[in-house]
This record gives sequence, C-alpha cells and structure tokens, in this order.
Amino acid sequence: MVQEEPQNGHLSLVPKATETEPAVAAAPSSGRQARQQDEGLSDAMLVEVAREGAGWAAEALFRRHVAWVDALAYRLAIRESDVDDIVQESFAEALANLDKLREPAAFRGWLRTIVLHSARRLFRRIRLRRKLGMDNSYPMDPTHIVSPSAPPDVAAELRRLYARIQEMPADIRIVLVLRRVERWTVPEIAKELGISEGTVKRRIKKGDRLVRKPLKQGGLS
Amino acid sequence: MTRPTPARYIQRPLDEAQVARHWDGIQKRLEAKQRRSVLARRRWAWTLGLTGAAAAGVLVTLFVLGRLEGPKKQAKPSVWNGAVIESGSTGQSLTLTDGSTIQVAPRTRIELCEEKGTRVCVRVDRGKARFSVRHNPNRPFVVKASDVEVRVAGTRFTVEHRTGQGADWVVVTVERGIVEVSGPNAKRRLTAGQRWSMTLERTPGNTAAASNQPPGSNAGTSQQDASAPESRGHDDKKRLSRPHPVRLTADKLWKQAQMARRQGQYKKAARLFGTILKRFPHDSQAALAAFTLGRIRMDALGNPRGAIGPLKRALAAGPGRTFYEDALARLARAYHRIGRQEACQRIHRRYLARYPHGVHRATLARICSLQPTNRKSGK
Repeated sequence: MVQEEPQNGHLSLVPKATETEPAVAAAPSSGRQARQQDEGLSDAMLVEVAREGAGWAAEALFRRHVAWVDALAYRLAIRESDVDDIVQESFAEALANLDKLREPAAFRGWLRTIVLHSARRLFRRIRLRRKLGMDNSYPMDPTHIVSPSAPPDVAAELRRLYARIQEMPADIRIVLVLRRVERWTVPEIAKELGISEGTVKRRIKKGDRLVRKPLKQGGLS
Repeated sequence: MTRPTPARYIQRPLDEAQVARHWDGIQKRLEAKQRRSVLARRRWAWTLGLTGAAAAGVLVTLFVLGRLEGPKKQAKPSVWNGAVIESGSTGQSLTLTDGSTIQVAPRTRIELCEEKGTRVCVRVDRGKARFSVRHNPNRPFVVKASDVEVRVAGTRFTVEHRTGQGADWVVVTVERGIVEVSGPNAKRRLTAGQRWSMTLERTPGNTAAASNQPPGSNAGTSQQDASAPESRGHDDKKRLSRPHPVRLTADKLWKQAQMARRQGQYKKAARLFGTILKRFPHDSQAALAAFTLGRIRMDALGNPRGAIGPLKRALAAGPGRTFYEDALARLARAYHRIGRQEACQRIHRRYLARYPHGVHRATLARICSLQPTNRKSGK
C-alpha cells in the first residue's frame, strides 16, 4: 500500500521545460545511448543524485545539455579554443556547485546563466591580453562560420556582425549576440544577465553603432 | 510563417569525439578546482593555527576591557541557554527566539548548549526531537547527539538518539531542506526524504567507534563505505569497528547496477537493484533504486506487472522525492498495460490531485480514460 504523506518538501517537482532541438548534429552512438537510458530521469532528479556523489548523474546532466551549451558558446565566441573553454568551464563550475542550486528543476536556466558569465570572463581576459600585447591570435574569418543555407540578407548581417564582434567589449558583445543572433527580447536579456532593460538597450545601441562603423582598410567586409 | 532565428545559421557539428573531449576537459577542471580548494583549506588552517595565540590574547584583552567599560551591544544569549528539557510520558514543544521550534518526544532529554544571534546548538542526550529551523545562512544551527553533529541552515528534520549497553544509536531523518551530518569517519549531506543512521560503540577507553549496524535494525551502510571520500576519518582515535564485516555495500551495488544498465545488461541491472532493496532497504538511495528497477522492468524487460511493486516502493518514500511524479505516472501506465483500468484511473486521479499541470497529464488522460480491456498480457 502506498503511503500518502503531506507534501512538505523543499524539493518540489516542476514540469520538464520544453527543450527546442539545437541546430547541431546529434552526437552518435554511445552519447545518444546514454541519453536514452537517462531520459526518464528529470534534471531535478539527476541533480539530486549527482549531489550525492554519483558520477553517472553528473555525466548524464552534461550529455543532456552539452549540445545547446556548445551551440550557444559557439555563437558567442566563434573561435574553437574559446568555445571549448566556455563549455568546459561552465560545466565544471555547474557540477562543482550543484549544492548552490536551490531549485534542481531549474538546472537548465541556471547553467545558461553560468555559460554567459563564463563567456564574459573569457572575453574580458582575452581583451586584456590583447591590450597588453599578450594575445596575437587573429580574429576568425566570419565568412566561414555562416551556413551556406542562410538567406543572403541574413548572411550579410551575420558576417558584418561577426567581423566586428571580436573587438567589442565583453558586455556589449554578449548582449548583441543574444539580441541579434539568438533573438532574445530585451526583458529576457535583462533578466538573464541581471541588468536593467535600459542598460540592455544602451548596449544594443552601442553595439549596433560599432557594427555599422566602417572597417579599417584591408579588414574583412 | 515566422523565419528561423539567425542562430540557426551559425553552428558547428558536435560529434561524440568532441563530446568526449569536453568531458575530459571538464574532469580535469573539476580536479584542479578540488586541489585548489584543499590547498586553500590547508592554508586557512595554518593561518588559524599561527594567529590563534595572538587572537586569543586580543580577545582576552577585549573581554577584560569590555567588562571594565560596561555592557556592550552584543548578541544576548537567550534565557534558555544551558536549559535542559526532559519530557515525561508526554512530549513538549519549545520555540527559540528566532522562531525555530523543537518538538520533544516523550521520554526525551535535550540540552540547549548555546543560543545566540550568531549560533544555536542543541544536544539530544536521549530520545527523539523534531526540529523546524528558520532559514538563516549566517547563523549555524547545530544539533549534537553523541559524537554525531547535524548542521542546518533552514529545514525540518528529526534526530533520534538511543543509548544501550556499550553503544549509542543516532538516526537523522530529513523532512525538508538539506542537512549536513558528520560523525566519526563519516560525513554526509541529506536531502528531504532521506534518513541516515549510525551506531557508535563505546570502547573500554570511553571513546566511540562507529559501526554500521544499529541494534535490532538493518539500516543502510552507505555512510560507512570507505571508498566514499566523505567518510574518511579525521580522528585517528575513533576508528570504524565492525563486529560483522560487510563486504558488499549499497554504494558498490549501485555502481555495478548502473554500469550494467548502461551496458544494456538489463536483467543483471534489475537483479542488482533488487539486491539493494533487499539488503539495504533503509539506504538513502533505496527509493531511487526502486524507481530505477521499476523503469527497467517496464521499459527494458517488458514486464509492467513486475514494475508495480518497485514503483510502489519508490512512492512510499514520499512526495518530497523528485521522482515522485514520474513514479506515479509510471504506476498508472503499468496498470494500464496489464489491463487494470480501474487502478489506472485511481492513480490518474491521485496524479491530477497532486499535479494538476503535470507533464504526464495528457498521456494519463488518454490511457486511463479508455474502457477496460480483456488484455491478459502485460506487454
């Protein structure tokens, strides 16, 4: 006989968030297999089990979310090494601090916030290194990152954006990508980054101005 | 028709090799974080040790000055400080200055070892007490029972301390929130619905040694697993003393069961999860093991009838567990698959009462509203 007990849990069940399929190739064989085996377990449950030290639950969380995290990091950073840094640092931070997550069911949103903060820290570090002359790497050519299937107007806008984005301050860069590429609304961006909508709008305006600024002679166009 | 977002046109393929590289990188970063944390703790311990004497001198000076200067604005200890509450045949209830409550069961003795604005300490000398602690991360609330310490920052839990000939038995049950329990060679974090117990044997030298078998019970042994990093002892004098060495622990069985499941050896995995339930029914992961067993029997082994028992066992852990909703929905589906529509509808009603907007409501509405069939097979 199943016991009925009054609900007094600090941990409560929340309906699974609908997850849109990221526009990336699905990981084949073993990754997909691991996901299938754990698909009956919600994020909240995996977080709870991972907190108890179960490595398989931590890996299951990673495999479930790595595709969209990688895609988001790629659109923010573009450079392969930077993308890998953001993805790995974000997951490491999330998995090391699961105890701080108050609502285990909100793991996805919490991880997204960590990704954006990791990206911001990385961009600031790169910009500082460039100013100090310690980073001589070349910016990525945006021609190759836009899919050939993109409509011409969208492709042109994206190339123009990514030609300038790597020189922008981290805060403007992130806001611009979220608005112009991910198509988040201003309130969504403000809430996610913990800033006011006015600040978001100012950064978008500044970013758009930087994008429209003519490139230096010999630069990418 | 809305156009796709531009994000769709900025992408890179992600294959299994890249995923594996990511995971390797994450593992290395986690190890580095852990190493830095250990070094920081050691540095902190050294700093404390070296400045301890100087700090003590400063404190003594301040104390003396304070007494000379008159009363200062400090956190006043409560009038309950040092109070001992011993209940008789009926229980008692106690409210602390911050609103936290303690319900003392009959024939229980507790002592309020400290109550200030900065810290609260309660000792359960004998019996059982239920604590409902107001959330305050800046004020540790510590409950002690024998050599076990429970540390919380806003939760509801019960601590039971039984004394017998030559041994103490401590049981901690969490109803809400998260508590950290530490004892000789054991440290564990418990969440809602979990229960932890430890037997401390009194050696002739009057030191307590932890054992995994409380008298007259078959409590789980997971906290005694030497392979778990949190259970490493920090006091050489208090060592594990096991009158009957147990080679197989719930943690080891769990790992083996998960490995078998990931390798597709579902019968073996089902057998191992069943063993966890049989041998360690009070282990903190028993309910999750029951739920997983139910899933394996239902999905992988095509045995919905065999899934019903484990799913009920998982539900018995209470609605505080995160898999409760899934388990309830699966139970309804299992009944449907073996043709017991009336049971399916009963569970469906329970589901809707608790989760009116639950993720499974549409599926259950579809299957449980069907007319009873003459199906005999559960597949």
